[in-house]
Amino acid sequence: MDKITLTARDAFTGLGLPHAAGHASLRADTPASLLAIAPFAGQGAAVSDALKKLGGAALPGAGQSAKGKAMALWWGGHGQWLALGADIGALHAALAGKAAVVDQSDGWVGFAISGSAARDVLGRLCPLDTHASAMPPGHVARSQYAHMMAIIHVLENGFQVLVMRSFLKTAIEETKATLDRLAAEAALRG
Amino acid sequence: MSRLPKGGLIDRSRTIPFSFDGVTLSGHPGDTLASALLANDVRLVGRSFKYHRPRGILSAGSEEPNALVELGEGAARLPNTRATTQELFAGLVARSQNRWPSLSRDVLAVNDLMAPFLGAGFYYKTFMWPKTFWERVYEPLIRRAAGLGRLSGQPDPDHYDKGFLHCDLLVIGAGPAGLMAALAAGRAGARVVLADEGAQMGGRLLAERLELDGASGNDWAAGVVAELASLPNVQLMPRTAVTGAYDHGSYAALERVADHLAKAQGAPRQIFWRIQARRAILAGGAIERPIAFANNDRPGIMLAGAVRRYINQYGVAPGARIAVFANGDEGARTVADLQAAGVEVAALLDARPDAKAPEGVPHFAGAVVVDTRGRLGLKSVTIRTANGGTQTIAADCLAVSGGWNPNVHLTCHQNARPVWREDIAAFVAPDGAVPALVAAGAAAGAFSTHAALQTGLEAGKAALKELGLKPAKTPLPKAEDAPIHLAPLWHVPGKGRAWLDFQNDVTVKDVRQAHAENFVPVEHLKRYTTLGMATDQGKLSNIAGLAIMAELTGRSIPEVGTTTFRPPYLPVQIGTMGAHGAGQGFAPHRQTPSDALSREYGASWLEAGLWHRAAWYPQPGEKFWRQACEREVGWVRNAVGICDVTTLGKIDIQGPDAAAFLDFVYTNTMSTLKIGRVRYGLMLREDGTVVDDGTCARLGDTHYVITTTTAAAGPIMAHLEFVAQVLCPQRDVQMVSVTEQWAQFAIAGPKSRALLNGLLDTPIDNDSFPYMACGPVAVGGIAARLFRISFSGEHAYELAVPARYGDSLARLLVDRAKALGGGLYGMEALNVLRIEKGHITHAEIDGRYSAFDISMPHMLAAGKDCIGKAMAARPGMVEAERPQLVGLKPAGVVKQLKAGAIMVELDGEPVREQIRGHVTSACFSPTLGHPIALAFVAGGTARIGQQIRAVDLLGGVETLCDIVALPFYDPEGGRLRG
Repeated sequence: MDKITLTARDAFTGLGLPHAAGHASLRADTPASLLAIAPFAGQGAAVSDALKKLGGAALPGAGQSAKGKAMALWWGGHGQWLALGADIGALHAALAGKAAVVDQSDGWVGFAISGSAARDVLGRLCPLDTHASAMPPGHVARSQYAHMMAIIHVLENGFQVLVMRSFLKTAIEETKATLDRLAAEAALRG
Repeated sequence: MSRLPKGGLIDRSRTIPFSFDGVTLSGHPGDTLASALLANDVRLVGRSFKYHRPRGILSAGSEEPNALVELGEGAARLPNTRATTQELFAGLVARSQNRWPSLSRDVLAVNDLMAPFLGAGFYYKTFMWPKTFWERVYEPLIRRAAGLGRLSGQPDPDHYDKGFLHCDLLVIGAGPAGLMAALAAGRAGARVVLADEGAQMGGRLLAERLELDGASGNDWAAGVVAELASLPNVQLMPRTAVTGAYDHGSYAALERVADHLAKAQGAPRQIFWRIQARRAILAGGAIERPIAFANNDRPGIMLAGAVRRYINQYGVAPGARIAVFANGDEGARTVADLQAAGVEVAALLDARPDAKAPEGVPHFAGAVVVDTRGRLGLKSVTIRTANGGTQTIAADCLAVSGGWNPNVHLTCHQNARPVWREDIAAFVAPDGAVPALVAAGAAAGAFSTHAALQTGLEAGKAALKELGLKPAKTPLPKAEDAPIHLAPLWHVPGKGRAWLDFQNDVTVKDVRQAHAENFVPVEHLKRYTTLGMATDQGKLSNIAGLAIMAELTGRSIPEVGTTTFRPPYLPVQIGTMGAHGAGQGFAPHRQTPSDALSREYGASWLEAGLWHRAAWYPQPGEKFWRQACEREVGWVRNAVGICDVTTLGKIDIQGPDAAAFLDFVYTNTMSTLKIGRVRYGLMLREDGTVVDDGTCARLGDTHYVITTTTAAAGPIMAHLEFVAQVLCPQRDVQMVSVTEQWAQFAIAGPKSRALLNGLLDTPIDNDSFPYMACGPVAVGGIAARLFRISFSGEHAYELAVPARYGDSLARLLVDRAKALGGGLYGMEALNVLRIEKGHITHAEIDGRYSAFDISMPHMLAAGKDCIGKAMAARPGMVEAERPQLVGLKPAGVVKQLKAGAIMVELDGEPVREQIRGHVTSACFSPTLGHPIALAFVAGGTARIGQQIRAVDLLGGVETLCDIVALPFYDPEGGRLRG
């Protein structure tokens, strides 16, 4: 039998990133790994403890995120969290019996919008109030983004947006077009 | 030229050219199209809708009913653009509309001579008979005559955008009240959005000669705007009209970003905003009321406030000799402004008998206008003086003021009705009609500048208090505080037509007619006469119309009431609301892992659940889709085919109660499923109908992964969440969608295992991987999942790898399939394969059928409950005459079978009462060599071997059919287990 090799395809192939226009720029920003953690009944504290031991942090509250040495943890919706950058095998082992741990590393892809106009870009594509008083850096929200479901994470100088892999092309096209229109608009508004 | 030698807020240092009806004219930056036309002595600008009456500019704002033009050329041509709000730019091209062959000589002006026959309700009386004329004669006739401007008929070349804004306080209108409210809130640190229709903020302060704290109103406004612009917490939005007040503090707004420019240069021309505001203040001002008198619609007859705005803001005299007709102090104010600008005043006609005479102007107290002359432009007005005599006064412009109507629209968008205030003879906003929205300034009936500033400041402070913010020091500037002196005057009785609704040609006589024919309630009045139904939505006419109905019925105005105020306040282009929605922007486009590969193979596409799936892969020499489809079917039946099935929903279900949970959501039992095995499953809705089907694979003791149909992936996930959270919260179960995590491919056909064994790190055989087995495998060291399931009826597998490897795996699979005499197959082949096997899709389980109907009563496991089980057992759900799924094949000369055809008995008629079912899916079966179909037939299970007709009324095809048992192909299922 000949040698079989599967090669990973970069989801951003052909999408023309990075892209910049006006006061905003767009680049790929997918976490190295992404695991959904859904604790079983009454296991929240045990999961938090196990995560802390693994170099993570306690499960953050709704809309919050937490950073540990070995991973970042995001709130991910009702009874669900996301571990970013964690070792997949170690996380499975540490949480066995305590939580459903589901690999989502290929399910979601991310990109970052940064710059002084990043909030304006979000303002065209996402209905959330992204003002710093409502969504400070580190905040995580699940919302819609250009009619697609998305996870939105606030960065120091912008936003990281995760969409499902199949939606990426539309998400990037919509975002690039918005950057371009906003740049043209800024030139008009003077 | 009517441009005044000085004054106005225009930039006289620059001259910009524009054209109107092909004639090149010039204006200045700061002009609107209307002010520039007036400056060029163009008074005739349009024709009315019904009578094609010559019309001029009536107002200076968005309430304009007459001065509507087609703006731009070619694909970008925009009809019904209000000249009064369109800012002038170099190269602007405008054309008048609703006239032929020209504006001054319009053939359809003959309608005006026919006016006695064209009054209110004439449509309803005239076009009733004969019935056969309706579609052939009347409709084409009316369609040709109807409408104002013309659409280009081409796709709009401009960009539009949509956006979201959030704020503590939305201030609507930047006149004295709005500016004061925004200033108070802005200084206190609230997040403020200040939106105003105009290019320049200031509202009435730009149009009047007013003093605030000793400065001109314009300078004061500019100072406030500059301060607001310097505050980071305030967003100024000029050229933005708030068009609707919706639930929970949400507002719609239309921003005209580039309508004032020749080219948008890549920017959106307009943006449709959705604004979420914790508090809102409506400071939208008031709209001046015309007075109805005979022939009050001639070009040159204008609202008095508009005359003042043209003089003060644009430095334009709308006439050389202007008469003024008012029922209040606005008359004297207008005279003063005309005198200050050096314009000749013909006379002041004040309807109030006790009115005081201003200096230096012929004054007629207690006089009214009874007629006017000048077909294409006003020449004179005929007045009836206090003593009853008539007199004619030469004038080319008549400034009219009948008082003011506060702009209450937004406060009534949630179905409230405004409140009548006798002291100002006007409707004002009702309290609390829209939660967290209050009116201030003229919109609240506070007409003096002082009152506007004060109510604006108070509203701003009240909003701050409700927001929990501490007000900052905001002193009130000194300004005039003239009381209202006004004698209500809606119309001047007498002969001749007196217009109420200028755009739709509704006159006082039409209201009388409606009254005479008992269309008395305002909503009936509106529909019968078309009052207020034009593009201006009756901003100038509605109140006057109902005031006249009040007179006729002897009731008070508030007793008559108003019609319903509905959004949008201004016309909004559908293209703006649907920004990016054209073409590919209509919906997100989901790509399968084999998308790039499928494009290389020239796939045609189908859309399902937003996914773009390959429908078939044409090869050279294939002229029709069916040739490709049948070849692909043959590959699967005889060799091996590869199909991307990633799009099917996949849900990972884990937890101590996972098995019990699945037993509850599926009709059949999943708790008895062995680890490493897959079972077909059916889900019901609570009402007992089938909602979805799929497979359920047990990966571990407390770990399952289930599949759903492509389009139902989202709904089933939501359904399961609902069940877990609401119906059985005691179950300890968690679910995560993994549809996108795994790229999954069907490998179907007798050579499928041969193909796999050349690929998998560890080969499989029939013992290690029998039919309905599942388990972990590896491909090139990558962990994968293999399921031995089949939708095609062949020996088949589905192989899943992490999505990033999907493209790579697809290429490997296709290469290997080709070597074995097969290849890629698409949705059309997949559909044929499953029809041959009698497998259902949502074409069959469309939400109306039970497990009994699809011949799966055995799927309702005994000894356990499941969602829908009780309701599925209702007598009506299991009676023998229910439609049941059967196979059809043609039995006569006509072979064609079409989905959607209705089932009719051999001696029946294809009428509703005799429909016995319908064809759900149909195809040509290359395997069997003839067309086949799945169909629901009443009592079908018991009718195998009988005949019935499939009648496709749309296609005009009628096919005699044999009712046959399912499946058509391999009923023993031997091929599955090979």
